[in-house]
Amino acid sequence: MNIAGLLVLAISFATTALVSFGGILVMVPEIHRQAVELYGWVSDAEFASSFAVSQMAPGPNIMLMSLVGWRAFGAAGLIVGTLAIVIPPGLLALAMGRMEVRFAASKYLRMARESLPPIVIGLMMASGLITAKIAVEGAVGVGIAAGVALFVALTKQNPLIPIVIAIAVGVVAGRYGYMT
Amino acid sequence: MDSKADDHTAQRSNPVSCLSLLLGFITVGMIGFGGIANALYHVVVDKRKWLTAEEYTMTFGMAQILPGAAPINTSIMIADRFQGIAGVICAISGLLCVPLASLIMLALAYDHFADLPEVHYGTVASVAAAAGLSLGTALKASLRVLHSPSKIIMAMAAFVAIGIFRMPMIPAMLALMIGAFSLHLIRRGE
Repeated sequence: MNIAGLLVLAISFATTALVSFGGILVMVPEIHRQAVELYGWVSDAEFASSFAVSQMAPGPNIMLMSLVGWRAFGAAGLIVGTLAIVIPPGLLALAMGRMEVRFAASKYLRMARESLPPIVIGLMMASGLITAKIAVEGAVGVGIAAGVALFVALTKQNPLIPIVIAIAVGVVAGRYGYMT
Repeated sequence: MDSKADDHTAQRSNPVSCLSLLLGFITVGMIGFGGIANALYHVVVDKRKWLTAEEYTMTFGMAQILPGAAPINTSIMIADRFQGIAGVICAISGLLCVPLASLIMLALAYDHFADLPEVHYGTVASVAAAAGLSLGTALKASLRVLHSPSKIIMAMAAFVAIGIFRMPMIPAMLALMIGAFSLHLIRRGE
């Protein structure tokens, strides 16, 4: 087992998790930066397929990181990667849950509620841009991304619905030679 | 072991056991396609009635201002309230067991069929859809949140730092948070 590699994976995911306000979508650029560009755990194509597979599986979206861990270090990477994403923020959640009453009145809570959402929006846009750079080529790709963006912005439906439709559109477009 | 958990369960007419947490969260993981937020609400509030809608919304609201995945942080806070650390371990293992098993089966199936052109097209389309998902979520939230120049500036700063300059997340987030908190304090001071 590659202990040193697993340790780097754990530290990389844990520290990223601790600054990822706004959930998994905002983590995508950073995980891509580290996993593909910095450490070379997975190739660009493997990152894209891991993203696709983790969207199709039921369960929390953090499983993109679980799969990157699996691709890089096998079963040990799967477990270490998953726990590294869950435990550090989870400990903060535990602490906050237990201090509930005292915290509710604190200045930080109000400041965070007020200040974090604009940053999260910027991170989300960055995530859309980086994700588009990984996979969007040609008119069909742009059309799919724009269609899903509108669907999500205008409805309250489960996001899996447009993703499944998009995959069907992609496969059909590919068969007729419209996908790269 | 945990007097805090005892206090909480004692206040409730219908304490939630570790087994019940395990089974409930297995359901959340199994039915949570496209993220678990909706499934979590469905099981915790509608089906098992562990929390009222108000209690759930308050817990989720706190989880949202923490780093990490809000639905997972919410699950941890809920399980801790009923059964302490043991409850958290039951809830998280229940939540993750079925999804991780499905994930690996799907990944192996993907590897097996990766040479088919349809699989390639489907993958590309799915990642393009994920890009749209991020942009659509940002768009939806922008209309609700970005009402002042300072908020628009903070959103643009975050976008440029991470999306254009590809800055490492930790220093970028620390700088952005210091900036946003300073703006907040300056405006409140006026």
